Amino acid sequence: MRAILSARNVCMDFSNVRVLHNVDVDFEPAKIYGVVGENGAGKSTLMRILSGFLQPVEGEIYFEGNKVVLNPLRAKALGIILIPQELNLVESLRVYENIFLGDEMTRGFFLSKRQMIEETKHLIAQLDLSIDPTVYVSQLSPAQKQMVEIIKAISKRVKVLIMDEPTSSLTDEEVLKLFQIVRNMKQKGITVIFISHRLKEVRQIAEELIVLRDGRKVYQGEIRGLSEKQIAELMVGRKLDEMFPEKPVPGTEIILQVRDLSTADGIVKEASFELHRGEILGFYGLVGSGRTELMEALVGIRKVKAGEVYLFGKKVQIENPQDAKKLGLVYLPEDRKNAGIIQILETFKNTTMMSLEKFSKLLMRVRKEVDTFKSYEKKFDIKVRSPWQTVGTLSGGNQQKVVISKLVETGAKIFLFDEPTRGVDVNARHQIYQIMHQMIGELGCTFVVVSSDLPEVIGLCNRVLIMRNGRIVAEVKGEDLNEKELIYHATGVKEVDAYQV
Amino acid sequence: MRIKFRNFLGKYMIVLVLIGLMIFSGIITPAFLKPRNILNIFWQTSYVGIIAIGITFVMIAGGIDLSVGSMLALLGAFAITTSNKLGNGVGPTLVSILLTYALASLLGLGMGILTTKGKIPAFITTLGGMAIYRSLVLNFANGGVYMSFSRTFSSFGMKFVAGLPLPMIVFIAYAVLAYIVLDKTRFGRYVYAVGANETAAVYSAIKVDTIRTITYIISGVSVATSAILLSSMMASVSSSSTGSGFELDAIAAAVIGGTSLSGGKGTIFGTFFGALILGVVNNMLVMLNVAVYLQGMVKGLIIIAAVLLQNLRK
Repeated sequence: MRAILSARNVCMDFSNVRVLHNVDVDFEPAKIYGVVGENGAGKSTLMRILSGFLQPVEGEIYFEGNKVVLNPLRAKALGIILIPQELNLVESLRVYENIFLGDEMTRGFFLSKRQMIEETKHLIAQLDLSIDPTVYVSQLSPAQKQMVEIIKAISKRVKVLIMDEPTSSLTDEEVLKLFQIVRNMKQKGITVIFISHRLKEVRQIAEELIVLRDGRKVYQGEIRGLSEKQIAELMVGRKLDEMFPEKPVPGTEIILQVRDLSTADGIVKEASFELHRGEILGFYGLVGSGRTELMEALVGIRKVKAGEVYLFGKKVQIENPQDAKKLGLVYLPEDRKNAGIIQILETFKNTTMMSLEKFSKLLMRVRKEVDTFKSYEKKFDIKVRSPWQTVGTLSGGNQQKVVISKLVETGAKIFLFDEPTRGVDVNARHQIYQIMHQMIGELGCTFVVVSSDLPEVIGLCNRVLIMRNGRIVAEVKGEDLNEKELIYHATGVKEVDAYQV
Repeated sequence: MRIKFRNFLGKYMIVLVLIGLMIFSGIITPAFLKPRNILNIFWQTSYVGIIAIGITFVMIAGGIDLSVGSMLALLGAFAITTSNKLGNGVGPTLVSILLTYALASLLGLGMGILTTKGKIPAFITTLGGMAIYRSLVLNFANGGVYMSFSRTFSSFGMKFVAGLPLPMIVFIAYAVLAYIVLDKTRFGRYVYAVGANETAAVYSAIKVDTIRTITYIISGVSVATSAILLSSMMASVSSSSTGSGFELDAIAAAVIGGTSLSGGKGTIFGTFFGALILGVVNNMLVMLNVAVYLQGMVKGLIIIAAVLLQNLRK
């Protein structure tokens, strides 16, 4: 079949560094493509070129056989729509206002709100969703925001829909719904380009696979017959060791005990659990089930209404993150960009940010700071040009390693990791798991891991607690630690298998 | 090598701009380069400069302080009034100075607490402060002038030490001290962190509200320093005109020096030279006989050009 959208010999440079090398790629109508590659492989750059947000320094783009020079408006007019990873919604506007932003329906001089609301309702119904068109986008969950972006795309005449990491904030059930929508779009003749880190999902949804590595296309072809492991190996260009190290053997001593903890905002309700020394305890649940909120309450970021916390057998009162840090309890936030790193600060300053008292008497001892960073750079394999490089310019995996180094440097013993590998490439992921094991073995650390990534929860954790509607509803371990069991407890619905449609 | 040169240029660009401006002025009016004139510029710049240093802390931490101009008048009037009450002599003068600093710290603390704990945008709290302070000064003087009757108080502002005017020495010393605090201490690091990313600072167990509040106290103390020097030099404070427009000049000096209005960026080095550039431009406009009414426009253009230049360089 003839391609609807093609790139020929496309090259791209960022500040004199070539990030795309002579990429040739073709997309046919009514087909679902999976695009994978490690962070920095050039996926997003290529997609931004295909949707007109970037101009290639060399090469051409063809649309329906004709050479085109794209800009965002032109691409939109042709029906090429990109849903970026960082969603493009205006939080302070309502759902329908976002959907018609720039294409408002008018009656003479005035906006015809009713018509736009009706049309939005119609689109929402078409996708079998339940979102009120008149609520503000800021009140929606990440998953709902993603859906609004899709509604926005299909409200236009779309021929090629590019989705950059659409599932990173979705639960499995929501992913299922998204996939249904994607398949419907294919039925209507739309080409869907699906970028994801989650290889399992790519295998589920895509018909054809495109693999990028270091700015080059290294594979395009049938996805059938490729295992996740094979895809991962294509991405990193070498054989992978097993992704997860062997599980740690926890001690019997209970070092953290939480009893009937409820947050003041009512999100977490009477949560109770115990944590053993040297253990990796998982928390699984849908988005909004209260996992993050429970972690934030434990480190004093979120107000606690009732409940007791015992650390190393002693009852403690944690009012703020400073208290938690003093007690050896630290939190790695899920939102790395906004809560984990300070983007415009130098990398080494991020590493030492939580333990400056170690690095200053009256004045700061920068030399010592840099040396400390360098030891982490080596130990964690942090890829950085210089300690003075601003941390915001590092790749996701390296940023996360910097955040971990910041937490380790405090000398804490209990680490609450919230989505530690979100937006992190395969290699760095593997390294982060190994770092955790190293910390358990060498420093006697203990971990709580909040994750929406099922393989991660299953492969990494000794035990998993499942939260639903703010309560801890189940504990699974050993034989029971499998996808079916986890999803069953998280949703409360039996016989949901997210991947069998 | 090229990168190093560019970094060097970026860092010292502002010094080159200042030198360029001075050479340019010297060519147009040779009188400009007379040591006496240069000293005068430095002297006149000191008052705004000291305030600009304080405001740099506030701005790097992500805030703004619009109250400094009115506060200058209020603190100056307070210093004059207390020293008048306490009488002549070194002791009473020192007491009145200490009281002025105490009041300034208290006002800064109040602004800080309202902004952080009250969750009011700094623009609003300090805008309120600006109106309140000015109105108080006007009220107590009935719109007139506060005159100093203490010979001790009204003498040190005109003093020269080692051939240099005292305000200039204080300005330089203050800048050095501020540079050390902002660049070399833990507190300084926190100021940058809080301004660059408040959320990440909270998650990093930094006492964000405390750090922010301290920056307002620093701003208050800076205003007090300037107020004491200025009211001593003038031996008076005009309730209506003293300090008016200072907030804009101080913010302008910081911005010209590369301080970001959105926080997290800026240096004392930049602010120091930013203030001097403003001083040179003011002086030049006078020497070139530019109409007084147009001087504001030139200043405005320079501020806009400075930020535009910084953006273009990125």
